[in-house]
Amino acid sequence: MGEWTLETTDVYLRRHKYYEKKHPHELAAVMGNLDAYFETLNKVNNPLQVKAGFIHNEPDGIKGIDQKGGGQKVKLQQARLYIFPNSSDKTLYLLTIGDKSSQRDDINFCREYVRKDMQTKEVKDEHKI
Amino acid sequence: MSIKYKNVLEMVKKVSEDDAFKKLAANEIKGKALSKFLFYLRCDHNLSQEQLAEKIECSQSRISKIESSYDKDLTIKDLLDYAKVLNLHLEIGYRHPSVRIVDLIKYHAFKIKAYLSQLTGLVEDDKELAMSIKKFHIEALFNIGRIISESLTKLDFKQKDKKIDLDMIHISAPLEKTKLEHLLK
Repeated sequence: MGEWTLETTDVYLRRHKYYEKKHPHELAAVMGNLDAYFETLNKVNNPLQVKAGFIHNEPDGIKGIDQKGGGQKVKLQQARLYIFPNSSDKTLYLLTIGDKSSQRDDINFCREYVRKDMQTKEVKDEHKI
Repeated sequence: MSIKYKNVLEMVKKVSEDDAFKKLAANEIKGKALSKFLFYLRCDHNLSQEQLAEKIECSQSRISKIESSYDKDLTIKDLLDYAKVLNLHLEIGYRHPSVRIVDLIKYHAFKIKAYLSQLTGLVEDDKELAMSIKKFHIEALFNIGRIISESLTKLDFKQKDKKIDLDMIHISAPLEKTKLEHLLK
């Protein structure tokens, strides 16, 4: 199987546009960290091997990527991108992005999404067989 | 969810609307090629930041800082520390921006020639070693031929030529024996 690819949810796309306008520096820092995670994932091939301070483990295999690191000239607010690395189809899903205040709702959304998504995929796989 | 992106920069360019943000994100991503590579090296050796810090005999916060630094802020000492504890040699090189991909291929072909010459020079009167090196030559001939053949099959003349972005900093993955063997299989 080839390299990992990225996919976005509709919620992520909406939030991305919001952050792009309101918190561009935070979003750019998160994108930088996401790129480091994604590039490394492609080389080491096992999501468990990729560990850093900006990567947070959440329930159900979901991971949070924050804005920390780098030498930004502006003080950044907390931002967290929620992702799901699915080894079976080598896809890194970008689920949503939020801040401290939306953390609980964001994680609930991600858990629900991952469960539904995985169920749908399992059904599709059964039909393939 | 249907669009698949090959990398973060491609996704950012497609998804974002503001050109200033696209530039900001591109600088953030492209400005950290070396630190990203150090991050990969640590992960590839299955080490946490704490474990690597212990080996280097520094604080975990220094490792965290190195791995999130812009390339312009990294020091040779940072690179050497990683090389030393990960048992790697550090190689640094410059490349003129006008160098084309075909020039790089030619350069590596000459390198292969030089290494093969070094290899055959080891033989002297050792017949066993000569046999091993002969076997290696045959394997290399087969593998290099296969690589070129696979590349040829990828050529689709219906597609327009794509512009290839040669980054300012070129990073070669360290050649480790196990990985090289895996690649050649």
